[in-house]
Amino acid sequence: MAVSWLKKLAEYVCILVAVSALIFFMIHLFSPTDPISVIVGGKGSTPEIIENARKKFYLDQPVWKQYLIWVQGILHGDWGVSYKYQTPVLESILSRAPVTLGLVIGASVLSVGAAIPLGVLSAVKKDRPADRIISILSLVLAAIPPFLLSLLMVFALSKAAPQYPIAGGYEGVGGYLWRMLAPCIALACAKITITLKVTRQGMIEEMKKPYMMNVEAKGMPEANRIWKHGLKNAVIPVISILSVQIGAMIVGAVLVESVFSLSGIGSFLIDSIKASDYPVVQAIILMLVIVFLLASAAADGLYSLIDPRIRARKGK
Amino acid sequence: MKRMKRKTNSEGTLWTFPFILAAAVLVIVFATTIFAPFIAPWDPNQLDLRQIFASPSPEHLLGTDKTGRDIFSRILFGGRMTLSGAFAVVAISMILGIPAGLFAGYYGGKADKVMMWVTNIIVSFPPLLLAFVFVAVFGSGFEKVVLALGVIYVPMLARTTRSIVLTQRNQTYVEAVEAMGYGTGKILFKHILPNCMPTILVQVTLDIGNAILDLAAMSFLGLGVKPPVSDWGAMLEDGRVYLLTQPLQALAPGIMIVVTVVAINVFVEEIRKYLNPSERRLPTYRQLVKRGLIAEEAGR
Repeated sequence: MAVSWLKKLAEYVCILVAVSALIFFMIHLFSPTDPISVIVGGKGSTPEIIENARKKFYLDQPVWKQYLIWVQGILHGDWGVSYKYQTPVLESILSRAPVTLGLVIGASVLSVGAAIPLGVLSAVKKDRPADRIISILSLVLAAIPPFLLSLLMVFALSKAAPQYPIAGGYEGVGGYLWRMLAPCIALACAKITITLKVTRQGMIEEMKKPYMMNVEAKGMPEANRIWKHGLKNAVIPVISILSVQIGAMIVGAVLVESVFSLSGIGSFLIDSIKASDYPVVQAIILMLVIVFLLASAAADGLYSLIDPRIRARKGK
Repeated sequence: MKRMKRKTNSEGTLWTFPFILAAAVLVIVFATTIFAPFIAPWDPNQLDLRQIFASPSPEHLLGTDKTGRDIFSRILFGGRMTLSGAFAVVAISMILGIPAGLFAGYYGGKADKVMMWVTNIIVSFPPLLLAFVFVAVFGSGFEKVVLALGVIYVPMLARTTRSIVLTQRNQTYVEAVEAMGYGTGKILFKHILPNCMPTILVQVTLDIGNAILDLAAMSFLGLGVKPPVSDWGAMLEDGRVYLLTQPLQALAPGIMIVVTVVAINVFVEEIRKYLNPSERRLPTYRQLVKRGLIAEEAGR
């Protein structure tokens, strides 16, 4: 058990080091924009100002040394300083985190919460009208880009409920939840299809297995059979796609944020890419990679929590 | 018509109603965009300031935008960008991904293990996030985004190819051509590849749909095409501001994206069902009797 965890940990550390180096060196060696022009901006700049900026951002050092300085900073909780705003990157990211986190978590909960019952229903009623309708709906939802779905929602909301806040800030916890509701629904709908399909497929296979007939012969009510026995086995592949789904959610959040004019991490990343604000770009991307790794580690943990068979295999 | 509706893959035919509908939609979409210069009633970039925000009329089928450009013509020409971009993405991924998958699957060993480890990591990230990194490093623009997505789609296709090669590798015909002393290149591309093609083509067609969505997202975020050229994603972004006054400008390209991608997905799904007989539904007793394939038993 401990060995397999250590192995996983070592793999994650390797991935993090590789990814951070890859991002950093690619940006610093290939990018067409000179960082100095971003730092100094269009202001009348003297050689002195440029020299100072070079010193401040360690641009006078060789690239490998800059990388070491960057990594050292991160280990000490300093994620670098934005070229454009000249403020610590971490601060700007943290101030935008509630929006993106709320969006990703809210949408994940909503989409899984809707996809599992719908998937089970679709499997139980296989090839019947309910299954057909759910299949067609999920097919269409898979083809609608998240930004289009958000646009349609903005359109519908401004016609049907003009007082709903589709732009601007929010006040208090209630205001935050209310403001986030529509974007969360939009993102959840856009990302529901895969979870739904996997649940349906898993459930259909589970229903065919002999133990199901045994439980039925025992006289167990259908609801119990489906929700307690079938779903518990069918839900395992759903967990394994969860970490991939969270990645898709984060990218979807970028698109949804921009339509609902929420200032989250996603729109910050896009703005920074457009402005060539590299410290922000590399910090956000590295953070997202860490989030992915945590998500897949959590999925692994959840696996063995739900399925004793996996726990037993790992213990060997 | 009634008969066609009943055909839902129960008879092992590809020509089901959903398949025909999807294929027809795709033919129409591709034909209208390929022949856009002949069909489009207006020059897509021609400004007409006397005709801004015109409502749909026989002259301007879908109305005009803020500078009086004809939205219908822009949809046709925008589709050219989006669809040719999507095809280019898939072509790049095929050129790199298929050989990689063939060699990895055929040789196996350490190189294969390392490749699988790397592709597993890459595949676990959403393509758009990788595209953001690409654009951050190399700058934005339509060609760069196409190139980036093409490269990003490689691992997925290589993995698919590899998994089929693994099923082919131990078959007798491979042993036979090996015994005949054929070169590896000939074995891989002339003998193994054709047997892998059906599955690869299914994956590739699906990738065209994904590429349309990803390209649209990049253009929507302003990282793709640059004005005055436009694709469906950029048109959506342009029309977004006028959503309440001129909804067609944003909705029309949006609908085009959805219709095209749904048609591609249905098309692929039907082919997949056809190629995988275990997913076909068997004809019912009644259907068999009706077609005269079995005689009706008395008393049944």
